[in-house]
Amino acid sequence: MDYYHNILINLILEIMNKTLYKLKKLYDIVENFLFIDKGYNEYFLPLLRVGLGCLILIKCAAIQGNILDFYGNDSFIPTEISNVLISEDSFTLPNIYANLSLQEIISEAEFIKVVFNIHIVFLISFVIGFFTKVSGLVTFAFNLVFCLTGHLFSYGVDGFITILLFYACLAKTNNMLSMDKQLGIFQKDKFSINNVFILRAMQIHLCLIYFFAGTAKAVGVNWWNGESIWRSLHINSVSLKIDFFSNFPLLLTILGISAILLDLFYCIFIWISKTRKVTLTLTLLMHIFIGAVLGLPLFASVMMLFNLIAFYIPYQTTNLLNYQSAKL
Amino acid sequence: MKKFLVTSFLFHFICVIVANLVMQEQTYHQYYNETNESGIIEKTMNAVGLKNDLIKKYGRISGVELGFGFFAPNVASEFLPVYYVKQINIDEPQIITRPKFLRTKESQIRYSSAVGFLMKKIEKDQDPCFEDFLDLYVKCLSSKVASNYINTDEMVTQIRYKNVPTLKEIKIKGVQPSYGLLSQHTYQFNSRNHE
Repeated sequence: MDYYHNILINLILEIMNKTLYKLKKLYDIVENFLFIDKGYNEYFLPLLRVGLGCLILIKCAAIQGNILDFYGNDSFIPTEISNVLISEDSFTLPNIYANLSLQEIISEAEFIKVVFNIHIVFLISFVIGFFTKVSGLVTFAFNLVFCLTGHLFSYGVDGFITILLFYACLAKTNNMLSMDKQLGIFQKDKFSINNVFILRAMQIHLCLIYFFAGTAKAVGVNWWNGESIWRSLHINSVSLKIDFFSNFPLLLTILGISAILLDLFYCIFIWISKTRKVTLTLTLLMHIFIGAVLGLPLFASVMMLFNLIAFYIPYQTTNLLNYQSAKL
Repeated sequence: MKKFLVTSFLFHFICVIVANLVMQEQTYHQYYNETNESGIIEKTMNAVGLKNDLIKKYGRISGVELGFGFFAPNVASEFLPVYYVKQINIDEPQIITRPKFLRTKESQIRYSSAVGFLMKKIEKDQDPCFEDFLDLYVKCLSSKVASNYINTDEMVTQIRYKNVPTLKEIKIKGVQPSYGLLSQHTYQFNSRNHE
């Protein structure tokens, strides 16, 4: 009996050892993938900071005339009503205003305008790379507060801005093209994470974005028969007479199927060096289509920036910004 | 440090995957079964604690709560409030489809996004309290528009949705896109200021 018992224990131990060995090997592969620098062009980090910062500035410039129409208790949907839909309501601008007991100093509308302007100041500081870490974190916090306050007026672009700002705050984005670099501020940044790790996180995130976008489209029938493309042509169209496109159902079907396939297989073809450029070009074209036809230029720009910093800039061996880099 | 980062990486992307699986399941059920009930994935995630408050907060901060099923499985109908503003001493009401004070395309997109919330009006088996909330929502939109017009006496707000015919309908029957009426709301104003 002991003999069989020992054999069984040895067998279990052997299986456990083999499994542990395989897990260790798998872990090593994951660690190498996440941390080993294969000579990636590090300009993706300053371009993340500058590109993203500029796009947020454009967004702010575009809505600054209607700030009070979207945020606060004088907005289309007063915060006290929109708060019903969210669980965490403590960080909305009207709540911060009330908690700080500023009622006797300034009005809520003035408070929102002041916060908005402070947000822009930090945003500019972030773009030029001046006290990048601090300005990045403050920008990130303000962005969250504005998203939470005006959550009913948010759309996809705000979510992607949050994602990119999150990565930008974790990364060392002031290593190039920044005032910090020129002035020698925070060059020994202990709070930033390995550049390759951030790159991998952005790449995996982007792959998941397209994969889930693809599966969501694929489960319905309307992306396979061109109906969804047909319907999307009607979004934001003031004139209803665009039935001209209905003469080309085959083209609409091909576009619909292409969108599904591109989304679904992006996560495979973008990793293969031979197919990366084609995949990236087709994806950028898709976003140009979204920007132009669906009337979402800012959303399209953020997605194009995301693609470029994740899968184009890091793989560029020639340094296009060498001249500026030398100057800074 | 590396082990901590690898663990964080895995946690971060598990959150992304879970958020999207739950959202896709919800969308699927809403679209095909017209129900808002929790699906198997959501129930499982709740049971294993992957949807607790702390993770939800992390999801909101890092942006991982965002679902990526844009315009899927189908492109939804557009909603359009049409405001008829009747001012004192002016016979003809002003018809407003897009408030003029929304000066930029970006502002208009954000307004459309808020209007899109009214899509919940067409969802079946809605809680009566939530229906009241949606009526209040329309009232808020109307009130904001009315506040930009002096001497508003009465306002009628129609919630319309764009009926886009299928490719077959337009080809065979020649059906044209149109705006259907979802609901109509009337508000009385008795002074210069809106109620």
